Parts: sequence; structure tokens; C-alpha cells
Amino acid sequence: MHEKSLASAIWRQATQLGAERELGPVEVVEVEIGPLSGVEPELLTSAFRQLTQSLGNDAELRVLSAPLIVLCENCQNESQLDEMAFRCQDCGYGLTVVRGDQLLLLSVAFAEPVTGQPDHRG
Amino acid sequence: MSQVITVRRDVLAEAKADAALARERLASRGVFVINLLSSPGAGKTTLLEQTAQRWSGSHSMAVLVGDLETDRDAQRLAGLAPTAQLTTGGACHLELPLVQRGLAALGDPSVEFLFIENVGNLVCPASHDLGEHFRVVLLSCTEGDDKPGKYPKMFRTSDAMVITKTDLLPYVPFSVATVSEDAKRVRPELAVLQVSALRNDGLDAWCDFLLRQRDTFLAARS
Repeated sequence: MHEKSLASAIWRQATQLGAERELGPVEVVEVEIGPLSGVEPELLTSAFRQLTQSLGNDAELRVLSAPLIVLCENCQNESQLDEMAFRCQDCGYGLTVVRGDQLLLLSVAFAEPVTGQPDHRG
Repeated sequence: MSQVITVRRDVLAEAKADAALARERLASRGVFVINLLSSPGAGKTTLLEQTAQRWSGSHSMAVLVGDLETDRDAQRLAGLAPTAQLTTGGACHLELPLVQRGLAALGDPSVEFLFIENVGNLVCPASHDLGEHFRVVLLSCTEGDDKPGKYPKMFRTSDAMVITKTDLLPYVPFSVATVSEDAKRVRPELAVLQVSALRNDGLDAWCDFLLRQRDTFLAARS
């Protein structure tokens, strides 16, 4: 249910980008999801497909997986976490998440506008 | 030929910026906003009833209560503190726009504490910033002491965990030590409190804890 509103937000942002630059229809949207993003990739892809199909568009959503990267502000070391344990192994400080807790819009690919006219329906 | 635009932006950047603005606006008026989360039935409304009763005449508070349907929780709190019911209809979590409409319905009061009682759900509410200054997750003794690791985002984004219904500890296989360790593994800075509304345990400590959190927060701003 949550993934539906995220799919809408992604679509809105992608099409707005195209409208601002007078580009063709959205072809591919790439996003990044990490272990703490709170988003399930398959549900998001499915929600996105349902949305675009209902709009008569066949844009594809590609989901890339981000690792969980944390920073120890005491040691100033960044590392990758493979399990949900947020204490620095060297000094015991609580770790801060640097990557892997967001839904990132990475890029949008647009097709050529049809017959030279800008076409950014959606 | 395709044209590719690189973005690299949080999809929720605007929503988060709106929440940050709301957070700052309320802080500047001395309103300390607490987002209360838990599974259904862990005791959020009861905890708010107990808090309001203790602070009657001494500290000001208002409550926004989120539910899919009914205003049962708002009715329970109505006589104790200014309360507005937020009905989501079907959404399993609260979002900022609904919270702001609720705040407007309350007349945007300048109270010391604004509690937002979220929809009972340990999953989706974790991902939504309601402009709060402090996030509290409740876990009752009947829910099992292995839950924090199973809901990492919820416990990771919380500032305190309140273990509720501690009067049941003798009757359930629940270890406070185990659940605390599990929760602190995900969020080392998590404060842990224990309450029993039935036996009137830990509630004064909870209220004092909140007063200290607000004081610390406001002192850090000045």
C-alpha cells in the first residue's frame, strides 16, 4: 500500500523532469533501495507497472540494491554492515547510516519526442 | 535515441523537507512533538491517558490520534487533553499533511507537548516523518522479546522504547534484558522504560523522562 504512493511519487518526479526539459516519454526509471529503506523492491516494481499501464505507458522501473553503509563518527571509519548491528566494533560508539536507508531516484531515460513535438504525457 | 538525465535524489526529499519545516516551526514555539508508535493494543492510548492525568494542571499537552476508522481513542482522551482524531480511511500509517490538518483543527495550540498517536503498526509508520522531535515505540510483554530485530527500521528510527504491561511479566516468557539488548543492537542510543498502567508502575518515571527530554531539547536550541 505504501509502495503505491511511492510509485506515484517516482512517476510524478520522472515526468516533471521530462516536462521541464521538453523531452519525450519516460522509458526507464532507475532507483536505488537499501536494507533500511522500508521499501520492498518487487512490490514497488509491481505498483509502478500497474500505474504506468493504467496511463497507457510502458516505462520500466529498474531497482538497484544499495548496501548498508555506516559511519562511526568517533573513528571516522565507514564500513558496510551485513547485519543489523549498529555498534562500532572498534570503539563501541553508535553508528550512523550513510547509505541504504533511502529510496533514491537515480536517473530517468526518455525516448525521442514523437514527430519532433515534445511528448511528456503522464 | 534515449536521453538519460541523472538525478540521484531522495524520492521523499520534499516530504522530508516539509517535515523539517514543521518540526522547526513547532520547536520555535516550545512545542515538543512526540510520535508514539507500536503494534495495535500495546497501550499507546492508555499511556496517554495516564500522562494527561498526571500533568493535569501542571503541564500542557495536546493529542492527535490516528486510526483507520472510529474516534474511540479520541473519545477516551477528550476529557483529559485537547484531542483531535485523524482518520486515515485505509492508510496504515499517518503522514504529515493529515497531521497538519489535525493540528489546525486543534487551533494550533502552543502546548508544551504534542503527542501524535500513530496507527497501530510496526512497519509502515517507521518510514514517515511527521515532524516529530522524539519518537517512542511501545512494546508490550505479550508481544515477544525478539521483535526489535524483526522490525529494524522501526527500532532504528526510535529514541525510546517503552515496555508496557509489566504486570504480566510473571506469566509470559518475556525477558526485559533480552528485548533491551535486541533493541540496542539496532539502536545503541535507545532509552528503555517499563510501565504498568494496571499497577501504576513506572508512569511517574515516564513523565519525568519526557520532561527531561523536552528540557534538553530546548536547552540545545538556545
